Formats: sequence, C-alpha cells, structure tokens
Amino acid sequence: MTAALEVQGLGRRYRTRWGLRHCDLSVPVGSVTGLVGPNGAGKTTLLRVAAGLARPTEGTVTVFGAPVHPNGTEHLNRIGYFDQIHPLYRRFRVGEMLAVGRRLNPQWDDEAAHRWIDELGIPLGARVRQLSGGQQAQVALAVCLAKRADLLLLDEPVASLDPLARTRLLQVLMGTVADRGTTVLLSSHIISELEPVCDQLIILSASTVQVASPIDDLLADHRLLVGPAGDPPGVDGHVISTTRTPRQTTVLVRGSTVPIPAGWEVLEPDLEEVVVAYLANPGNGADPGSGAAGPGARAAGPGTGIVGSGADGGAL
Amino acid sequence: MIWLTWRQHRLILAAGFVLAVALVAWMLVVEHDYTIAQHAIARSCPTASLGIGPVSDLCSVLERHLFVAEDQAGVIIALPIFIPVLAGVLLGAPLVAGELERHTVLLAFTQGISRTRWLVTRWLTLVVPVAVVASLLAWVTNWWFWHLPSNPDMTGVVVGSASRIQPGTFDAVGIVPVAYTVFAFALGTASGAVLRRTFWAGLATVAAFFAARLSFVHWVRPNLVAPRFQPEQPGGAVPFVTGSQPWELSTGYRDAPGSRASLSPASIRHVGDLCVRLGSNYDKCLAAHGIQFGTTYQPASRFWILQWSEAAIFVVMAAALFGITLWAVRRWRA
Repeated sequence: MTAALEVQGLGRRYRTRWGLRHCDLSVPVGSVTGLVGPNGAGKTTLLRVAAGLARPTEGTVTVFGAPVHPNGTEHLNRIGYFDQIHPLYRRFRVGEMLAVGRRLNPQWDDEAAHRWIDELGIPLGARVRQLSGGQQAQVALAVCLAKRADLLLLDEPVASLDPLARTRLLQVLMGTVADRGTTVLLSSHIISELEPVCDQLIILSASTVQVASPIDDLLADHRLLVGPAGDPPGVDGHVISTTRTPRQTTVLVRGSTVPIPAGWEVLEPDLEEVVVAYLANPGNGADPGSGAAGPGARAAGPGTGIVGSGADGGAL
Repeated sequence: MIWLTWRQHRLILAAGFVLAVALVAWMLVVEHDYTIAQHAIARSCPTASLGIGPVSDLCSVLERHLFVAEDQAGVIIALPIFIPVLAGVLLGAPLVAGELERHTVLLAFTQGISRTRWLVTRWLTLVVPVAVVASLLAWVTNWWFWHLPSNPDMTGVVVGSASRIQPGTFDAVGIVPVAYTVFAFALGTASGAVLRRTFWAGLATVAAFFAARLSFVHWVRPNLVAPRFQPEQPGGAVPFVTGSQPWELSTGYRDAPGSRASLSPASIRHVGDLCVRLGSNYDKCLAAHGIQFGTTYQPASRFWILQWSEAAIFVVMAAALFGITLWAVRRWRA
C-alpha cells in the first residue's frame, strides 16, 4: 500500500539556517495526522513542500508514490492545500470565489461547497474583504475541501475559527475521511482538538521529526513517574523530560518504567503532556519508530506504518 | 481560467477601453474643427492676408480656431508614445507580480491547473484585447492623420502623407503602435515575474521600454534597409524624389561611387573642409578627390517595409519576454 505522503531525508535550508533536516516520514492513506511543533519548526515548510510550492534543498518527497511535480496536473488534482494566511481574491464575492474553485478543479463538488457556506451563514454576495478573518478562513477552507482531493494539507486550519466553527470543521473533515478515504495532514497548536480527530501524530521540533507515530501507541508507550522532590530514579526506559517542583518531581518515560522506586507513582499521561514534554526537550527526542501499522491494521509488519527518525535516534 | 482573468482585470480593461474611446472622440472633434476652420479660411480669407496687413475679425477668429486645433493635434500625435507604457505598467506588471505580492499564488498554484496553463491563459486573455484596442487606435490615428488637410503653414505638427516616415509620426501610425503595445505588455509581465514586485516592475518596464524604443529608432531603424545617399548638386540643392518628404538621417561627405581611394571618414571630412575653403573651385575639388557631399536618407516609399520589419522585431522580442515570464513562473518557489 503506497503511503499518501512519503518523505525521505528531507532538508530545507534558508541561506545559512536549516529549516528542516533529516526528516523521514510516511503518512498512511486514509489517516488523519496531526502535525505539531513550535513556530518556525518547519510545519509550514513541510506542507508546502508536499504541495509543490516549496522545493527541498535535499531529500525526496512523493505523494501517492509519484514525485512531487509543481506543474503536474495529476499531482495538483490529488492534493488540497490550505495555507496559514489563507489568501483569497479580496475584491471577489464569496460566490465568485466558489466559482473560481469550480472552474479550476475538475472534481469540484459545487453542491457541497454551497451547502457549507450556507450552513456557516456567510452570504454569497458579500465581498471577501468585508468578511471577518474567521469567515475568510472558512471560505478558503470550503474552496480547499470542495476540491475533493485525496490528500489534504492543512496549515493551521482552525487557528482563526471560533470553537463552534472548529468543531464543525473537524466534523466535516471526519466525514470526508469516512466517505472517501481522504488522507489529512493538518498542523495545529491546539493539541486538545487534534486528539479526538487524529489517529497519527508528528512532532516537529528543532528542525527534525521528534515523534511520528499513531496516537494510541504514543500514549501506550509513555508513562509519567511522579514522586517526591529530589533526583529522579534510574529506569530502563528513555527519559523524555524531568520536571522538578519544590514538592515533587515528574518524569516522562518512554518504554519500560521498571524498576519502580518506592514512593513513586506510575500514571498514564494525556496527549498534551506528552507533546509538551517533547517540545520542551528537543534533544531527548526522537522516536526511532515502532514499526506499528496505520489504523485498522495494527498487527502488520514494519514499513507499512508511520516511521519517524531524527538526527539522533534515541535508543530504547 | 479565462473568466478568472477577465474578472480580476475587468476594471483596468474597462478603464482602458473608455480612455481609448475618449481619445478617438477627441480625434474626431479635432478633425472636424480643423477641417471646418481650414475651409472657411480658404473661402473667406485669401491666403495672402494671413498674418499680413489688416485682418478682419472673422479671419482672426478662424485663425484662432485653426491654431487651437493644431495644438490639440500636436498633443494627440504625441499620445501614442504613452499608450504602450500604460499597457505595460497597469496590465503587464501586476499580472504575475500582483499575485506574488498578495500571496494568492499559494491559492492559484494549488488548484487543478498547471502553472504553464495558468500563465498562458492569463497572458493571451489580456494581450488579445490590448492588441485589438491598440489596432483600432492605430487605425483611427491613421485615418485621422491622413484626413487632416495639409497646411503648408503648419510647422509644429506633421500631417498628411508628407512626413509619415519621420520618427515622430512613424511611431504613431501604421502597425508599429500595436507591436509596441504588445512588447510593453510582455516587458511588464516579465519584469513582474522576475522582480516579483509590481512597483519596481512598473519602473523597470518604463525604463526598459523607452530605452528599447529610443535605441531602436537611433540605431536599428535607419539600417533595417540600407539607406540611400543623395548627393548635393552643384549650387547646393539636394533634389529628393518629388512627393513625400524623406527621413533625413545625416548629412556629410562620403566616397563618390567609382572613386578609387577609400579614405577613412575622418580623412574624408578633412578633405571636404579643405575644399570648402577653396571657394569657387569647391565642386572641382570634390570631384578631384572622389568625394561628394550629400544626405543619407530613407525614402518615404520605404514606409511599409520599415513598419513591417520593426513590428516583426518587436513582436519577436515580446515572444521572448513571454518565454522569460513563463520560465520565472515555473521556477517560483515559496
């Protein structure tokens, strides 16, 4: 089964600084993958490279098995891209923006686009520049989603939306995934919202991939050790982060937590705690990959699932 | 894509069309005024009395009308220089640069249409109406130019078929205005695609357009067809073929045909100056040294061949600039 997006050795340099380095990823078809990381980590670069808008300095990118070709209509027809700044033709009316999508895309679903805009209460006759930022984002999203692409690359799609609109959008996304097996790769800062919709997570930090794995596996692999203030105990697993307060010490461990020292508790972390721990400690990073498969095929062998590696593959 | 291009540029296209119509209307009005004044003066005021002796009130009024029309005609004939520049700066420069500046390329380049098709459609959809309007304007200018009755007393404006090959007029009539407009548009799109900023692209377009045109008129057009030389006759007359005034390029000395020695231009000039000092033996001196004095010129009969050649060259340059635009667009990365 070809991965929807496969990245090997990806690097992107801006003059002297590397935005991304040594990135290896594989996004399975039909998955909803969240992309998190601090600002400037390379999320936008990764999405733009996949869309054909940016060219990597090194490495390869393939979408559905074919190399990314910025001028190729086959590639352009298979991807839908939503940018952080969601540009629109500001003098156009909303109805005209939808007409742009209809005329430029062969698989356009006009009925769905109009239905979404209608449900959001955005008048078709309003000019784009008269809409609020959130409404403009929703129009841009409608244009992106109605394209009926097989791979959606969404750069912070929910950033400008109110909570209700966010929920609606995520519902629409889940509907598309369920109906058509669309693959979604979306970046966000709001981890609590990614959790219900995403089944895979990629953590980008310090220009590399720190984590790339199914969320269930991620949570299953990590444990919080909470104990009295003082030095943390030695454990067999890989220590991701250590937090000390005057009253207690908390350690996030990947892998084994034996032996459990006396007076310490083992807890299951939530996703946000895991992600924050990785973002705060980029050097402790990378998950060499569990070899686990994508959703619905958990027992499959290596190579079919999401694989991540960083500059220093952390040993388990 | 055609619809999208129209929709994005409808204001500029409409404004351009309105300006073109206004210019045509102005031309018709000036032609009308001029013709009526001319005929009235010919009828009521004998030519000899113009400017000489007591002039009746009617004649001075008619004269004033004539001068006003002449002034306006002088302005009108100068305008075609600027029409191509407007096309280049207002339509060409923003074509690619505007989308880059507003980041709408992030939208345009991720729809189901390749960048090549995107640019080709946009470019053709705009260059065709621009060329059509430029053609109509050139056609009307030609008509207007040939319809203004010749007035031998007019000094500032060249009218009639008298001097159409001379640079001021040549650039505004015939088919070259269309070629200039297409060239300026292509220059605008190429500057915009390479410089990525509308403002600088506009400046670059203006500068490059005038540089190209001026150098072409100065260096290329005189030599598109080998110019002729008309020697001065004894007595100082230079008898051009009667009829239309030619385009005089330069006057000076050169080797007479059939002379054995081939001197350098500096030597020829030196000999010519020496002969001038001989006074009455000037002609014999020239003949003895095998040189002659005269005018290098392009005859008016070459008007159309020069027009077609120049138009072809500018169109080819426009095609090359389109190629540069396409290359820059395909190469662009976020």
